[in-house]
Amino acid sequence: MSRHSVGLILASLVVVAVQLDVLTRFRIAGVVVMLIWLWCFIVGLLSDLVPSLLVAASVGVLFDMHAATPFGLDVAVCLVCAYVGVRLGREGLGDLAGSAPWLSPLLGIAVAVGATLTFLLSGTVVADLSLWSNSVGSVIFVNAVAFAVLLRVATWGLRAVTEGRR
Amino acid sequence: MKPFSWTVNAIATPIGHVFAGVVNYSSVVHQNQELETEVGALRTQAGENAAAAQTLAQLETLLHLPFVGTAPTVVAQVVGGATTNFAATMTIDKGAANGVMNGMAVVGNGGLIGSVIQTTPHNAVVRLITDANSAVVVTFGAQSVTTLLSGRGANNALTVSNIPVTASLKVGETLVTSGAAGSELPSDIPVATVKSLAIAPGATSYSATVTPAANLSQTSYVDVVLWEPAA
Repeated sequence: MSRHSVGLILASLVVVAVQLDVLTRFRIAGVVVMLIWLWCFIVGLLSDLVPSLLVAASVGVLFDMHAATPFGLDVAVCLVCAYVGVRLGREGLGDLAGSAPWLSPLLGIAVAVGATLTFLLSGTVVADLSLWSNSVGSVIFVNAVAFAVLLRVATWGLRAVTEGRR
Repeated sequence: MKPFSWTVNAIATPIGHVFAGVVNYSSVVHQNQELETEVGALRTQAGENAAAAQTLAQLETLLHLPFVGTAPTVVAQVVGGATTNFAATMTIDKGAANGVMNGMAVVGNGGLIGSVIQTTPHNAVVRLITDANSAVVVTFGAQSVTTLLSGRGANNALTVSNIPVTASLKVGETLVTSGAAGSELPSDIPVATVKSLAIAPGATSYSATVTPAANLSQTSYVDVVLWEPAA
């Protein structure tokens, strides 16, 4: 197994642990920042299709095992985020450090909106309409702001872990 | 002699203090550090005492829940909140090994908090009454009108709809569990208090916005009511 894969797996496990044990306690306006969604997008942005989807599926399953929402919804969101990340990575968007300053916040906002809507649509597919509650707007807003801030930092972190550089 | 003595003292005493300060500077610094450490320890202890008093108050409240009646209960500590934005749940430190089963009522802080939806041997997940998938059969008034109270997601008020216009419900009135046949919850547990009413002209029913009777955001300890509906 390559250094890249080992780093990816270990970092993803840490991200799931942080999501479950830290972010659920430190809510912003009552909203949990869904770092695992952003993480799967970044993994897709910087990796190939197969490892990205494997990591996304694993992260989603691990998280869904601890969530009270129908099993599989976060798996679906993580897979979609990773796939979109891979497609955008192939278009050359993975090098955020060398891109225009507005690109990473814009991508972060797009990921937050897209991931939340994917989650809700997945819930609709499994006939759970209760997910469309009044707090959807605040969930999208808080995650959009958080993702806009975190995207570049998390990308740098993943590069540092998988490529061993600072 | 007195004015002279006073003048000498007025001049000599500060000078003496300065010399004493210079000579004893290191011991003063050491003493100051010790005092600061002591103050820090006392502040920590005061904080711990306040936290312990709060815990004690919550546990005492749980000991005197009049609405639980004679049903056996298990005191549990809340060890986690909801992991996602789309479910209002909490995790407690008691599970199947303590007699906790799915569907059991969880009470505390003045009323119904939710019901158990998932158990492991030593933990259980509680769905709060504010969860969008939560529905509790409640009753109110002298005529014991029964209706359904639904959650609308965390941080949102609960709603009661389809209340017949013949039923009189007032703002501030408390809704309690009905305990009707088939209900998973025992009767007479306070669930929510009416906050506002919405009546459309000519309608045959109306709805109410209610707030939970229990303080769901400040809950560290809860009681699981080990009550099962009669078969």
